[in-house]
Amino acid sequence: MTKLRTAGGWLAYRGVGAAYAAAIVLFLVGSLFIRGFFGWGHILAIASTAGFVGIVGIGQTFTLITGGIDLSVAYMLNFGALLVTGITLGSSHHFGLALLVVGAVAALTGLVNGVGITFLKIPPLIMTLSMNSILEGAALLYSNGTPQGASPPLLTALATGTGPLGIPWLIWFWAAVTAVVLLIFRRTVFGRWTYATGSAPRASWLSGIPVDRVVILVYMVSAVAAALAGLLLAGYSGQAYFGMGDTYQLESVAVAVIGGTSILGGKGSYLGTVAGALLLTTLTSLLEVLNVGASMESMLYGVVIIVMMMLNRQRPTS
Amino acid sequence: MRVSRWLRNEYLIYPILIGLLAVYVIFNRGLLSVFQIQSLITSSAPYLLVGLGEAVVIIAGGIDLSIGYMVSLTCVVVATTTGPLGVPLALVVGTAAGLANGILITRFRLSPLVTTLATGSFFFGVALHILPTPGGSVPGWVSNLAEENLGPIPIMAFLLILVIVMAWVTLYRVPAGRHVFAVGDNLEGARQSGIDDQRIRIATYAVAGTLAGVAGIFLAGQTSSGDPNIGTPFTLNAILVAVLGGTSLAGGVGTIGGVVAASFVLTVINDIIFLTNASSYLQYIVSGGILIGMLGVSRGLRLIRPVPAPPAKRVPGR
Repeated sequence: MTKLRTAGGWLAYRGVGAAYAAAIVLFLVGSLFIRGFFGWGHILAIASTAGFVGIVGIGQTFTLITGGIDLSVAYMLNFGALLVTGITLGSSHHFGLALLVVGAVAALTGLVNGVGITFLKIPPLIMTLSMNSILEGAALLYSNGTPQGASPPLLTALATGTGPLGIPWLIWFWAAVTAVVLLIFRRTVFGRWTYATGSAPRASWLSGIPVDRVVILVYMVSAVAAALAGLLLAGYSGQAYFGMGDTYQLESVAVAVIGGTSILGGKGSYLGTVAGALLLTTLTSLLEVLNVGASMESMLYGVVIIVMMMLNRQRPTS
Repeated sequence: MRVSRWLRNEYLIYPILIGLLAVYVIFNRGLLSVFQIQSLITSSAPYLLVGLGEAVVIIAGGIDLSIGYMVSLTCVVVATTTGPLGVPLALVVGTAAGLANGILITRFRLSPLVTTLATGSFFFGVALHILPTPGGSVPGWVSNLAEENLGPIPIMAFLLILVIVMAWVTLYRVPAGRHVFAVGDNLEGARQSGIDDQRIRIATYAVAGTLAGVAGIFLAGQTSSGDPNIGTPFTLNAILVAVLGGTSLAGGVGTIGGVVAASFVLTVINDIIFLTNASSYLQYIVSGGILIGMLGVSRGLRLIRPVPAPPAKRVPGR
């Protein structure tokens, strides 16, 4: 904490530095060996694709810092996407209503997760994994197994359009969200309490921090972030389909952990998660260019996560 | 014995099983037929196998989120190996996968949760590499083992009894088994009393891998083919069965009887959903809800007679 507050302190946060360095090195290695890999356009493409997992990673960063984990993001994302396409049916007509419904469902999901974890003392892993199954059932019941509709034009524009300076709207949006998240972590009481709750739950409780409310709010943030990513992903692919969130389960945890967020709680930063998202997306992009296939990608994800964990572990922790 | 003791996690599963069987009989409009009982046993076989493996890992204070993918991997191995070597090879692969988990987690001191998420991705990649789409063939005797009956009793029942007896002997009648409980209950204490905790923990992951292998072989036999996606739901189901059966995620607590009962509970629930013609999508909601419900109820009962001070012990495995 103290380290984070010093000028440029986050660079000293070595897990973060390592992740950014790894992302850049990986990009340069790709550029050396593959023609057309290097280029402004490709950098923008990687950064905007990283936005999806980066936004899901917001919630994972918050929950991991409190010492928890949110494994319900996969179907929260999927349900959010199904709801927005199902309600708007591809028009702008009911977009406001859709946002309201998705927001309410996400907030409720997060609330239930948080209440289960705090008041019913259900371990976060079990609570959220079970919630994922419940959301999958809810999503199947809602759409009766076949997703309907299409994404509203506004979402499609946000997820695929290009904004000022030739930079995709998605990157602008992600940057804005990142600024808000960083402000929450560094300048609000809630942000400080999140760290405190994760590093010493009992001490925090004894010193008057409303630990339970912090944890509940953290899971609500996570569910809303996952749903938001679901909306963007629906906009990006123009529709919703089952299983669209599946890969984000592992990836959201991976980007946070790669970025130096400790699974044991109390330590981490969203800047690290952003680095993790950029690294993982650069890797994915490299693998896609090399055309190694889904199986090799899946294997390499596993290897990268474990290697980054080993690297982060060996560093002296602040 | 007082009623409150029966309502603790470890024993709650038995009244639930009896109650569900009663519901089953009511919806069935009569006692279960021999065929129904046979299918109850064979359907619960994979749940029992993966649940037992997960329970052993959790008792020793860990968690394994790669079990489902080990099931897929071994299933695919059986279906693609020609000749008589498929089954032993699958068992070796499962055990080796589990060993790798255990070694990474203990020797490199990595978080079990993220490590097994990552190795799970790796195993899934390998399975997908071996067999990208469902197919392959399985030796006839493997299918017979999975499906045929010896008189009125499924052959699988004998195998399950063998597994249960072996698990019972190793957990309750051999020093190493007591060490599993000791390591999970108090790692530092166990270490100081001379237990080689790393070996014990590695062994639990290896056992989980072996049992996942048996489940993979069984599923390959049952479907007479291999499928790289067949294991995916078993990660949640393994944890579900273990925890429903009274295994505490805090480590050190768990019974084989509870796990066996829990695997039947899961199967009976699925059968009841099928009998009532309810939407099969409900299965997801029920399997997610039941764990939250049970843990919530047992917590609620404890709240009636409040326990002073919030528990200080953090759930390990994160």
